[in-house]
Amino acid sequence: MQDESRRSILIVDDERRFTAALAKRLELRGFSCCMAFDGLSALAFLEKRPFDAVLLDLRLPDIHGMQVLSRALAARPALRVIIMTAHGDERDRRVCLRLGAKAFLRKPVALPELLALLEGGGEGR
Amino acid sequence: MSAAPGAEGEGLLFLGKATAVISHSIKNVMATVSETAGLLGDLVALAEREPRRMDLKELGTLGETIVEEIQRGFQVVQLLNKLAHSGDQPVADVDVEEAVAVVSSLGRCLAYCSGITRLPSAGEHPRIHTRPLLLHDLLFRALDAAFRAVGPDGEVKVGVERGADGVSISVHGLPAGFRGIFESPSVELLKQALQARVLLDREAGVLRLVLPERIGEARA
Repeated sequence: MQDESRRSILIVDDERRFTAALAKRLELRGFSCCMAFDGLSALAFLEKRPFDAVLLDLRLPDIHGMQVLSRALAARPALRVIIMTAHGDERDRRVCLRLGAKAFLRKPVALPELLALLEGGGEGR
Repeated sequence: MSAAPGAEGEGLLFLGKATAVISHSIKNVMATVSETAGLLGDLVALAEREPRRMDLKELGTLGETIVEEIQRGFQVVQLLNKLAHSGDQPVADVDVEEAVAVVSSLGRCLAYCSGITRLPSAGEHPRIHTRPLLLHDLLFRALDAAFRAVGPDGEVKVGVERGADGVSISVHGLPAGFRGIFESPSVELLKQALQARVLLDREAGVLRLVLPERIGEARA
């Protein structure tokens, strides 16, 4: 059964082992995590459940992470989306922040920084 | 042998793109190792506080994941090394099967990569005398276009065979709407430099790159 009091995070990344390890680390810190390995699955998850935050990779197998970002925020403008990518350059960062991402992190991600962002207090790079 | 004007610039662009793809893969490997090692540390710290929650099997699995990811990282670095050396000589003898293997590995680094199956080839690996870097470039463009057409859930099959007009590399499993890789001036440059023909059989869903056994001295 889902614990309603835990903040829920959707992690969207096609690197399955990375995603599983990060999800487990966040769960050990009190978050409830779901994983999506492509963009369309992520959007389907977002239609069904009110997540508190989304951790979103940009390079996904089906659609680009920026499409997921803009469609997710069009449906839920207050959703906290944090980009987490191995690939993004400065232009990607600017575009994502303009589209409404709360932060733009480059992998490997420093967990304390990510936690601060999920708590709502951190400043994204 | 003299240079292939224009096409050499394409080769350089290809190396740049390949390096970006590979660096992305390496970063993903490092991110996975970092996160898995972090989780291992979390679980050990948890076990120190609550020894009964220690799950040795899980710790072992995480250790195996780290080793496998490091192996993946080595393979990616090896791929980078092979691609880098493909530019050592403008023209050289190339094992076509090996070139297909290298480019397939590069293709697998793409997020939108489809499945790739190698069709069994008869006899020995065909070797041709050609421009290695540009051959990798043209082949990568063919695979990249095939992946985009087929999608990440699909599969392409790649075969190599020797024929009367040279060695052909065929990409099978393309959908009816596949437009090929013809409509690009840079592909035209590569075709000229390699003296290659690019043929598309729309009905069969097969793209074929036909390469001469030896590129002619006069055209190079």
